[in-house]
Amino acid sequence: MIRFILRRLGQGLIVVFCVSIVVFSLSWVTGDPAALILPPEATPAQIEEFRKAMGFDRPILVQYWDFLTGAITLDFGKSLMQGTDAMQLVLERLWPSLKLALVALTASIVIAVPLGMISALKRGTIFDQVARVLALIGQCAPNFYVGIVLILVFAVNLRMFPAIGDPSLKGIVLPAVTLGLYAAAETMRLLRSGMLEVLGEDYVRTARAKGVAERWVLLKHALRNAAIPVITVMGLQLNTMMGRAVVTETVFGYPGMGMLAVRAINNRDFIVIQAFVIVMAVVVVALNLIVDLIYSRLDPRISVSD
Amino acid sequence: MTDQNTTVPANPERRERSAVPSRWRQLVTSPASLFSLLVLLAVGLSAIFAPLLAPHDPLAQNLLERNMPPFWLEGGSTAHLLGTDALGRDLLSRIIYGARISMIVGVATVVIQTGLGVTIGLIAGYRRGWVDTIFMRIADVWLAIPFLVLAIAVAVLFGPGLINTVLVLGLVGWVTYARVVRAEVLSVREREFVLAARTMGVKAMPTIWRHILPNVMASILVVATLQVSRMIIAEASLSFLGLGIQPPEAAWGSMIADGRDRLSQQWWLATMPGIALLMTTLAINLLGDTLRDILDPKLGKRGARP
Repeated sequence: MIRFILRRLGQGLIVVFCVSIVVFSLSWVTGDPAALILPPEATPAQIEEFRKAMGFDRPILVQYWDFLTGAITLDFGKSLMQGTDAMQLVLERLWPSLKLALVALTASIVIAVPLGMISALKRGTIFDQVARVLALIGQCAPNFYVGIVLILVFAVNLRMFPAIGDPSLKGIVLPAVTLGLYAAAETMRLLRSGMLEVLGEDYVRTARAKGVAERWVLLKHALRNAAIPVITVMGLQLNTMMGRAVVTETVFGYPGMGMLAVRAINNRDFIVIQAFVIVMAVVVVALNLIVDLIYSRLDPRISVSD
Repeated sequence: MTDQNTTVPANPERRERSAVPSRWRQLVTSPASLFSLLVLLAVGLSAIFAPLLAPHDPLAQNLLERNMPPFWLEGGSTAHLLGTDALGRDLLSRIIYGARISMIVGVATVVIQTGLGVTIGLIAGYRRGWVDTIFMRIADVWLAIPFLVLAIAVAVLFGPGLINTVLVLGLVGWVTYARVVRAEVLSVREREFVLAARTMGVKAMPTIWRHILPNVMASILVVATLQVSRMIIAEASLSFLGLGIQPPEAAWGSMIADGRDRLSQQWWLATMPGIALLMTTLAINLLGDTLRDILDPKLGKRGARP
């Protein structure tokens, strides 16, 4: 087990290292990073001066080495718009973002698991039909649009929640629902089809024949197995969620990493964007490792040792 | 999944199946897929014939007719069926022209992604060995950065605009195809007809082209259909953040962003383009689900549909 975790951590490090190369080279793909950062009306003399000041005139490998050694010590340089440490800016916003994602994920599971189970058990009924249509809509709806509709209904008209999101109890509800809707829809659909498949299996029939109470048949024998595909996609779901959080945070003005990144983009603050993408990669790799550990717990067939 | 391409009339199983309606007939008989075909037809026609269908010029401003509500509300007029925005531009005409942008982006990005992803998937799956390892490691790194975050980072470099947005989304989204195609190729390449072709000395390229590609086509088609809707949403998200299609161009995402600031006064400005966007993605997803049922009966039997 420990060897598995260590090996996965090693792989994660390699991935993050490669992401750092991607992030670094991104600023070179279009040519001169100085021209990218400075406004288009900057004069050639200004660009030249800026290149010197930022060290963009040195050989590219030297620059990458600086970038990499800086990255290891979490030093990406100073934010161009705020003058403070870019990494610190991002890390300050890491917890609000994680909190939003975790609340959204928890909410999606709490809503989707009962819905998916009832939908499968009452297959073909009105309940099932409505739940499936809702799930389909939830999967297709762009989340910034969901956010806007929620603001319109619950903040502007009903005045139940604030239109501007924040990590407080009341402020996180609308952003979390917006962000969790897609995951809830996907979980519900997967769990429904998983349950339908599992309910026909021999071990469920055996459990019932043994006289196990129906509640336990469903929870222990059926749900545990039907949940496996749900956990499989959970890593992917978290990944998508972190991406969609950028848009959701912007819609609600929620003070997370995503909103910081969008503001950095609008200000051409490339240093903050670099720090943001790296932190994002670390978060995704870490979350995936956690999901894999849960997965191996749930499904003993998946051996973690190989 | 493979017997689609061979016609063996004498096969008894086939004859039996022909007594029931062909699976392809689902496309026009099931209400869900009929709905999706009708919506897509409407969106497609709007996209192609936008100049003929739109009642007004989508960019023409008329400050005397600003902020008009839809015709069924107090103060609306049938001259502007869905009302006008803050600059007096006709909302319906803008939505019709917006269909054009969404369709171009959806189709063009998916063509680029398919070309890139399928080629990589075919080569990686067929060659295996170090080629496979390298491509799949690159895919891992790619997946460590959420799609939207990567798209945003690249979009900053490419700059806004229709062509740039298509390029960004096209280049960023190949991984899904590469992984699906590779997994399929790994199993198809061990099948007898491929082994036979190889034994007879058919070279790699003709083998891939004539024997492997046709057998992975079904999966590619399903993935590509679902990707069209994901890419339309991604473009709308980028435009919403101000990184995709720029104003005054009528793209659904930027129209929703415009309307967002006026939610409490003119709710329709954000809501109407959102409905168009939601309907389109819903229709594409329904079509994708139906196609999956038709092309991969194995999945259907597992209870994904009743």
